[in-house]
Amino acid sequence: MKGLLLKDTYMTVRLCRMFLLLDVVFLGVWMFGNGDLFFLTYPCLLTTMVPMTLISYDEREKWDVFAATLPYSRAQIVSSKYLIGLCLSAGILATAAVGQIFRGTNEGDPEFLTMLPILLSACLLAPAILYPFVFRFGAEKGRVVYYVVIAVVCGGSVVLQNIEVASLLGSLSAGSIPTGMLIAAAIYAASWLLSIRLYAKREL
Amino acid sequence: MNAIEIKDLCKTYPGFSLDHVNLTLPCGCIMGLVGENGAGKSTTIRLILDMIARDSGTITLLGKDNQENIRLLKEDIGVVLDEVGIPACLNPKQVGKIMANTFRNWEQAVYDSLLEKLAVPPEKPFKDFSKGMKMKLGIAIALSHRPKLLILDEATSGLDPVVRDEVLDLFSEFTREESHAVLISSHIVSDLEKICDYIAFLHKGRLLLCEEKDALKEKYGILRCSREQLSALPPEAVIGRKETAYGVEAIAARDAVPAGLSLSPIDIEELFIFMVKGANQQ
Repeated sequence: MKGLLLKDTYMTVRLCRMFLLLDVVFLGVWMFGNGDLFFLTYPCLLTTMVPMTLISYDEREKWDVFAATLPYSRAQIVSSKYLIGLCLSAGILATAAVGQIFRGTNEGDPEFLTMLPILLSACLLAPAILYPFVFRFGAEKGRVVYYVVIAVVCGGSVVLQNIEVASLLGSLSAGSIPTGMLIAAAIYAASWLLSIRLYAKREL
Repeated sequence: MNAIEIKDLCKTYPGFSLDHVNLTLPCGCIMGLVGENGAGKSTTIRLILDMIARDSGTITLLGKDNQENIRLLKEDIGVVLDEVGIPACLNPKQVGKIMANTFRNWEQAVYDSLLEKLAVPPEKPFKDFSKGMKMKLGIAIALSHRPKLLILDEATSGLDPVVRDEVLDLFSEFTREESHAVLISSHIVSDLEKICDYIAFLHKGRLLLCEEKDALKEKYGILRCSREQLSALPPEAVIGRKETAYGVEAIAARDAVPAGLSLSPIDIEELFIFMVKGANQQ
């Protein structure tokens, strides 16, 4: 699968530069500005678009068909996209965590400590819902589903903006955030397996 | 050993069906898959590569069932499809690195020398390539991992005659090794005539014939005669016919034609056209 990941890395650097640049700008604004969580949420959601963009390019340029002639299983082809998504999300959240340390407010910042796992869950849930549709029906039809998911997540983030996160944190029991993250991870894993099954049946 | 063995292969789509195709390609040989657009050539190739699910039948590649471990089998198969499928932003150098991490037997030196031989610029992005150049890159990839079987779907289309000739030489050279074989589909029947040992004709999802090229040319000839003379021949001896203002032209089996009638030699392109027209008239 190394070849698939290398190809996706080349393509991400070449084609998704703008996403990565926007991520840097938004994280910069979040770090050096007033810490508005929108500037943290947006790059995370943007990052979830990268694997989707790669899948669209693959289909447009018939790489998906060519890859099926190479010694890769369908499971590996699907897994490469899930792994790229996971690595990019982990990367952006790790950058945010490092940024938070630089901001010097990592201790006693309940908003950030609450938002980080919620964002991680969002980064897992949005593609987890979308990818099975994409691997079953193709990027074009899957994209429609994606926009719906993004709208829901953005709506959710607006709602979160309006909620006093500190009071939200207070209302959550100590175990609810890790439990939520575990559920998100389980859904991501289930989506991964489902996509493998669906893509195995797809005719290329 | 046979490189490809297809038995009773069926696949149905709305408006098209591949109907009980039987085909055998022995190792050391090149087989040309001929047929008009929509005849089922690409469907057959995709079924061989297990890219689409078959309805029934069996496919054996290099002695192994193609559904048992197609991933391992593909290590030994070089494929060039009508659309090469390389991402537009990549260049051949990057593609080489990707393939080196894809095939266990990838030979970078072979790849580099093929790029040089076929005049493919290693640093130029794929999006700036001409159709012919894209095909040449596809061919270089297909030949650089010590494959035993080449499967080529319209791989010579878009190439100018000089490069086409060079590429056909590469394929001929490839089958000098006894364990190697090539299945090539093309509209350019003259290319197939030049290099193929076997010819398989597909028409509307049915395999009309699959025989050695030389045997075909020995067995059949073009008969120019009157309608009455043609109707006197056994129907199974005539595999295609064309009505002209002066009589009838038909492809007929030499041994069924009476001594008084003479047959002209036939080339594969004529055979193809006659057979398709004959099949359409039936």
